[in-house]
Amino acid sequence: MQYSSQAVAKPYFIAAIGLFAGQILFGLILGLQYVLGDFLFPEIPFNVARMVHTNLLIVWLLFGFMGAAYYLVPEESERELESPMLALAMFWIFLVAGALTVLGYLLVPYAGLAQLTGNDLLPTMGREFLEQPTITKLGIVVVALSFLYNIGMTILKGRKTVVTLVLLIGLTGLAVFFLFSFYNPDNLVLDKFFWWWVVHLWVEGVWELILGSILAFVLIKTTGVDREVIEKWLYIIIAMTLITGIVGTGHHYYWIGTPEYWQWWGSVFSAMEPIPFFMMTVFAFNMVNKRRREHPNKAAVLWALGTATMAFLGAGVWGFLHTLSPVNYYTHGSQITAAHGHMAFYGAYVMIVLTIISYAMPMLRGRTAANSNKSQVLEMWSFWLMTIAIVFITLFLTAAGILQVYLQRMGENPLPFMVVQDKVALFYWLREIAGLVFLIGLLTYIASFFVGNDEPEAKESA
Amino acid sequence: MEQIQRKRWIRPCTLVYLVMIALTLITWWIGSTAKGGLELSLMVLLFALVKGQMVGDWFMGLHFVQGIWRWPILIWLFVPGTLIATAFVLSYGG
Amino acid sequence: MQKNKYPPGDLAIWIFILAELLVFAAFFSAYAFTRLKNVELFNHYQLTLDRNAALLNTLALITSSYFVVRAVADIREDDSKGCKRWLWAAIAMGAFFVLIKGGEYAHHFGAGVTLSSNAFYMFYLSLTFFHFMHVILGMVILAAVALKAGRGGYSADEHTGVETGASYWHMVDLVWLILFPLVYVMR
Repeated sequence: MQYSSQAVAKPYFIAAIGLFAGQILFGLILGLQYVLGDFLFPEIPFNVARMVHTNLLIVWLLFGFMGAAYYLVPEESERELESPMLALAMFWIFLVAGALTVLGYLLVPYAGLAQLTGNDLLPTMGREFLEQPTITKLGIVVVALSFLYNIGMTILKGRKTVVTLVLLIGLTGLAVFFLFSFYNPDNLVLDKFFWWWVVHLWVEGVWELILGSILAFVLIKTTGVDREVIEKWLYIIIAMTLITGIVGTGHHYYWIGTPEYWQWWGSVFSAMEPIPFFMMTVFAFNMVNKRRREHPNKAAVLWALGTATMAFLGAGVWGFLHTLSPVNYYTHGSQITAAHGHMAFYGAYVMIVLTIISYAMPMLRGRTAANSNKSQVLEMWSFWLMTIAIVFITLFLTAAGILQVYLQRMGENPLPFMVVQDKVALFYWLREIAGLVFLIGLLTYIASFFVGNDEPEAKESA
Repeated sequence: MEQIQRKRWIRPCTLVYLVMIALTLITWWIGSTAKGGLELSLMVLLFALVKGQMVGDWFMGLHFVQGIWRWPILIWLFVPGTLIATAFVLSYGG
Repeated sequence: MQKNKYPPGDLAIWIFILAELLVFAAFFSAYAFTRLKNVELFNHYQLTLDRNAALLNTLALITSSYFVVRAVADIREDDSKGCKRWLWAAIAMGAFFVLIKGGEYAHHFGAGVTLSSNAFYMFYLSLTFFHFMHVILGMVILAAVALKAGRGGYSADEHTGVETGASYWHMVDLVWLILFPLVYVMR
């Protein structure tokens, strides 16, 4: 660690991992509720568990992104963070607000929570992924602005690199598009239209810039390849991402009452969205093959390569599967979407956050470059357990989805939704088992932080 | 070698340019009659593909490249070109 | 003649060019097969387009592409001034294209045509507008190259920037060469 203010990243990473564990627990509850409908009812109904599962995911990824920014920006800008105090204050505000929101979801009926938090004054609640009370949303804006100020000033006053520039564009976009969560028109079509500006333009737009810059940073550090080479790749990847991703929003505008031309715009442009992900895969493997050093943190390199591969599979391939409008006509809102969602979020965003944690945490905890071999071996075990588990979750959900689409939407005598759900229950059970394996992987991951701490650090091999 | 090139009465790229202008004028003339028809349409398409290949080879300079980078423009012209031709043949009833 | 392993310009721009061409190829094929289902509609509305404007635009783009070729030839002989002049001439041709195309759009929008009017206009507007944006981006790139060339920033030994900008501009030309007959002429 070259700058002492990088240390503020540590609490962000710890909180991220803690919330990640919470997300997985609620995922397991949800998975069980798919097959045992009244499990934990009425304490934790399905809709509440789903809300907590998805909201925790978003919040912990945001913690991860902020931690990543606080860690890499001082090192790239070659100066201390503008205000470490502000960063720590925002950490506690964000954590407490997040915890209170989740408690609100769990302890108060949702309609009551809306009333309690004065949703009537500025109604923004009740929409998928944006369920947070308006006051929490305002808190998110305050945290995001302080964060941007802190990071932005550090970048602008220090050395400017392509990595920090792309990161700053991504983070600014993240904040700007979140503002559309306050826009809640009465017209349901318009509501959905702008809702996607938050949801889609986050995960298939600006978040990809954040992903690209973090990946580039870790590859520069671990491979020793020339910065210029890595930066050129980063440029093409983000250019392609923005061209395909922005117009690609159209793949959400097929069936919500928007004009018909979106079927063409959405299909053609989003069919190209796998290209930047593919370039990212080629990029990562190329850089590691051209490496000029054997970085002792093998686990971090593994996570980086894993991100590049799984993001392409989950976001690229599984996205392409159902992105063309004639296919999507049958598959939208089915378990195919859930399959894509799981692998894409894990492959692109969970893994990039775990990559930067894996790279940075040893230094934040006082090592010079890497953890002991023993700890790294355990971490790599957790990599394989979680990754293989998510592959199986995706495959089982895809199978469930294909069957669901066929029985419910394509046959001569389409069956009702709940009847079909019973028929695909086997796949839901298998998915739950894969989910348990994922939990074991996560526990292994957490254990890797407590194992081998008294052993010597892994050394750079010749 | 550059000396030799300068003594030529016309640069290859200029010749290519003039051929492209001529093909464009013929295309426009066919269009202005508004008659249409499968044969004329396919001819116009062929002109376009030839012009495209000229841009790739002589303007972009792929003529002087060997290996896989010699071919991307030609392949690019071939794929949509074939699909467009197929669609037009079908629109005239096979 | 000595052959090269890579096309002129930065290889990165070529990857970008290929990705862009892929998008256009998808749109061209979609046009042809959608037309197959609406032949009469396409034939009818195609006649509302201004073929003379399209001819002028085609000539403008081919000519500007030719100017860019001459600009690259000049810089290879270390002639920065000539390179700069050809580039600005090419940009002027691009501006001419934008002007003519803008006139066409004004005419169609004035007549109340939108993306939702019918399948033909949807494709006409989408394809030409997407291309239009590329013309503008290409002009920005050429202008950046021309400015640097004007400052003497390139030489016979180092002129990757000129070739990179040139390759992108030829791609813009190439796409229009297919677009023009497909949308304006073939029926």
